[in-house]
Amino acid sequence: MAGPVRVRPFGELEAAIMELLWDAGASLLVRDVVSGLRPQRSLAYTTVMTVMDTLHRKRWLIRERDGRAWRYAPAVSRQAYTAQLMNDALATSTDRAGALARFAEQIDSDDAETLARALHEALAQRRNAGRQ
Amino acid sequence: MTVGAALLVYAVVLGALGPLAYRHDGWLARAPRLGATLLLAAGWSVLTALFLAGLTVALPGTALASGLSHVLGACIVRLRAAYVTPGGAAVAGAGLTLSGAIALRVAWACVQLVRDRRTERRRQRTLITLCGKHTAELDAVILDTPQPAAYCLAGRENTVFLTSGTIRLLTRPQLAAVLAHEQAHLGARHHRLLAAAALAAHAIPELPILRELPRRIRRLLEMHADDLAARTHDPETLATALVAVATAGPGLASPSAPSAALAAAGSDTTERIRRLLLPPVTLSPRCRRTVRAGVAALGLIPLLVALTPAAVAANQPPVKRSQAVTVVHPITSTPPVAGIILPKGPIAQPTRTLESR
Repeated sequence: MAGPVRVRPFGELEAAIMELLWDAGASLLVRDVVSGLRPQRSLAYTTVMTVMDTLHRKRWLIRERDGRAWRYAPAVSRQAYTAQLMNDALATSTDRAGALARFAEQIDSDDAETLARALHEALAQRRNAGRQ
Repeated sequence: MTVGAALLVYAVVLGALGPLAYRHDGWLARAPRLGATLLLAAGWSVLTALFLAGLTVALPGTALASGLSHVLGACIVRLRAAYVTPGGAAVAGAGLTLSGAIALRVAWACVQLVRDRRTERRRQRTLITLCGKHTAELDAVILDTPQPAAYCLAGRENTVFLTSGTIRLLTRPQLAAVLAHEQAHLGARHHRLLAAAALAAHAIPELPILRELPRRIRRLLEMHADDLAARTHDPETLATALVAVATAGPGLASPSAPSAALAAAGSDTTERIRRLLLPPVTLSPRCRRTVRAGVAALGLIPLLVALTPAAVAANQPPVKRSQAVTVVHPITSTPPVAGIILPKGPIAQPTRTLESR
């Protein structure tokens, strides 16, 4: 499975870089990212290069050689990252009885059948009870 | 029996009864919020009793005695006599260690709680920035991800979160019911009860009654939110929404939960569905009053037991130094001897003298 296992929110620059790459929809060179960030942030080439290298090491980005430079692309889609971040938040929160608890807990496919059956039985009982 | 021992016995008995009651907790589901309060009261009662047990045992040998004597206006000699415990310095040291450990753990748990909340808020802000949009129509933040999920975050700004997957999955009435459920959590301020449970669980996780407290409370509060939502929305709609979201399949890349947790989640969800569609008989007002009285009793008993000797000592006349002598060693000195010789009416000479006037 592509992408990292543990999820944490990005730092500000990391998030900006990831967003740029997600919006681009194609792999980018470091200098493309630098110029893409330029209106809001004017950063040194080496700064961006270091951060992108870190992101690659953490498996957020994949890269391939393009001459002497690297072309970077996101390893997971924006939606996949969102889902991961959200699930991570909900999982750790319930571990520590945090303020977050999802509306319905995740269950696997076997339990899903049992659940659906329980629903239909209860609905039937309810209808019968209503009729009496 | 000394006060310390009494408090210990109380804590042990309550701590043992707790898990037993957990196994037969069907009646709690008939009044979930009251049940959650009762469980919380029981847990904190055990915690407080242990904390106070340590303090009362350590009282004679430490500065606590003089502090208390100033507060109550009681004779310090009588106070020490009232709280004396066999075993002397060793037991007193153990008591102080116990109370100190509990206090430190609770304080540490507080710090962690605050830190966790801050991390959570930061994470949710990132989510919103990345792919979230607040809609006034639903009064919720919609996260653009296909996995169905709905949750809320309590804090300075209460927020309900929905994924776009949820909106695609559910019908309009179902969506309204889910939102009502989440808003009910926020309105009833469930996060406060959950925080109290988490603090107790982190203070002494070795005790089963405390360790299981957060999970039990959370289960009951989900039922309470279901009840609140069912007041304004069709319970059938809420139940079908619950099944739809639960069975939508695991997340795209969610970390796999341990199978025990999954199983627990499945049975909890089944219970919620049955409860929504076949609601149990609610507790009678008399039952509720009894439970509320129980909650108050659980809160007050440890304190009253701990302070009774002090109250008795405060009502006794102070001991005159010329008539008797107290022999109480502070915990730093040896050999450990603790005892008090008090006059029973006028006596000619003291039975043991260590120091003259």
